[in-house]
Amino acid sequence: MAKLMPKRSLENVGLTVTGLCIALVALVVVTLIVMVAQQGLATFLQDGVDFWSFISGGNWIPEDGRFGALPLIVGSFSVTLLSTVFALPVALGSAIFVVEVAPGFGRRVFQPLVELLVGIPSVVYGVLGLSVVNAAMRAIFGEAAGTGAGILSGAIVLAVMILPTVTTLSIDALDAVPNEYREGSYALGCTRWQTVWHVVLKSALPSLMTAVILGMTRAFGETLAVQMVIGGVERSMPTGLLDPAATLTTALTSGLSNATTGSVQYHALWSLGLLLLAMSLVFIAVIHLIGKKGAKKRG
Amino acid sequence: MSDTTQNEALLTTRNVTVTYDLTHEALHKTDLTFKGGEVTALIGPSGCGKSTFLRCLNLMNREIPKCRVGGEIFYHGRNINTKTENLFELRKSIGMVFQQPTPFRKSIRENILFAPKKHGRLHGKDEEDELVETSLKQAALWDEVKDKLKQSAHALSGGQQQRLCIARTLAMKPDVILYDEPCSALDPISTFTIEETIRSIAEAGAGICQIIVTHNMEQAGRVSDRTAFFYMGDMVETGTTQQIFSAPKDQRLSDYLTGRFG
Repeated sequence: MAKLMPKRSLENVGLTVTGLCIALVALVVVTLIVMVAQQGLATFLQDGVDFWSFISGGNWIPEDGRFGALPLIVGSFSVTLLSTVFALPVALGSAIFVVEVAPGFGRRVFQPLVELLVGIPSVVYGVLGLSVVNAAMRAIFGEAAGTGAGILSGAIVLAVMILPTVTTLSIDALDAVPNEYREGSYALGCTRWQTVWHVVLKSALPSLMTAVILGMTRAFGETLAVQMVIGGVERSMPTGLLDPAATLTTALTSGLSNATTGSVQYHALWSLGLLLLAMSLVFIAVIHLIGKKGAKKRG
Repeated sequence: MSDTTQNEALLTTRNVTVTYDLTHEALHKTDLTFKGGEVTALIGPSGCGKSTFLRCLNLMNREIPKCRVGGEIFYHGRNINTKTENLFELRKSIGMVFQQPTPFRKSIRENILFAPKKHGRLHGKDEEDELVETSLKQAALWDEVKDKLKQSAHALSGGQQQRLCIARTLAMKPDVILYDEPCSALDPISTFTIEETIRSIAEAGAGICQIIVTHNMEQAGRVSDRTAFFYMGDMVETGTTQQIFSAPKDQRLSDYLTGRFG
């Protein structure tokens, strides 16, 4: 056998290699945040756009120098919240079925099926949304739906996209509830439904909330599929769910081709990026907060 | 235990046999009788079938897939091991306390009231308050928690959580309480308090039949009136606790008591 390295120096090598990995990741994260912040803040510090009119202005018309991102913010939040509202009952229902009703079938057949949805590229969702959801909107709402593109269409497509994430995490959440809790409830003469509703779901609440928020994070950040079905109207506030609109992400993508590097328009797009980044940080912070609170309660 | 009403046989099993996974027989033809007001200890080495037997008595084994219970279990003279028995109704009067304390993610008060409320037994806050107080007093927990009934039950210590589970069970006004190694996750002082609680329930004269599975022979000696010894899926010997410990008849029981295996 080859001569072994002395134990101490072997440990040092391990420490250095893993330490470098951590340093690299930290460097990437910090650089990313600094760069987005630098470019994004330039809109306000260098180009003199007022921050409040950026946040609360109702018109996003970069070529006219009007940078009111409120329609985009409203668009992003409405598709995110609506898609969560659509996806959550289905995800929770399926999770209850998989964990509480038919674990064998659920685990073997249903869960892999749902996880298949994760692997489908967003452009496919976009095409499907364009041809199916938008057409359905036209068929259902007629004139009022216009081309069928709008917030509602975007939310429906997003709901399907976040469904696997929320379902899988909900399954894990319910699965993590110790069986003793269920038996404790059965031992008091409670039915299965009472047990699931009042004991299992209640115990799993923090993890379920994490599942929902991770789903929302995904919906908030999704770009391509939404862009294909939402209509891309950035200039004014949407007035209804059938109105074509735009989100922070779609406005960012569509604006890039028209903006020259270093211009106000260019910086304003970075500001949208900064806003997106800030929102993801908020989502992540909320997840951590829930985790901590849950741990304390269980303590 | 001179009262004749207390000596009524509440639960009787005849030829109770349990198989897991359709082939593995965990319990073989067990006949036992349990009376009101008595504490019966089920003892024996790990895997002897004592917990399996206990879980037959409130049909909890039905929650385990591929578990079959054969034979007859008479509760108030009626065979409950039938397909038509309403398990949920039955478990309202046959309570169970588990090895791990299982307080729900609710306040102390709501832990007690959860099941009675769900079963529509309570009307008004006065009835609720009274039930919370009497149940917690019976489980010897009232003095420790009376000022923090609204706090999360998860903030209690392990022993307190277990007594809360007993209180929760008592709130259903059962006439049988099953304990599945209720102290094995607890420290000696909590264990002692739980044992005292069990004794005080027995001596309160309410005629509640208590059956406790334990691997701790001293505990069996301290809390029980009668003892049944299980070994490798058979109920080997039963009698008064005094007789079982002082004059065992079966060789396997005396080997177990003297610590040759277990």
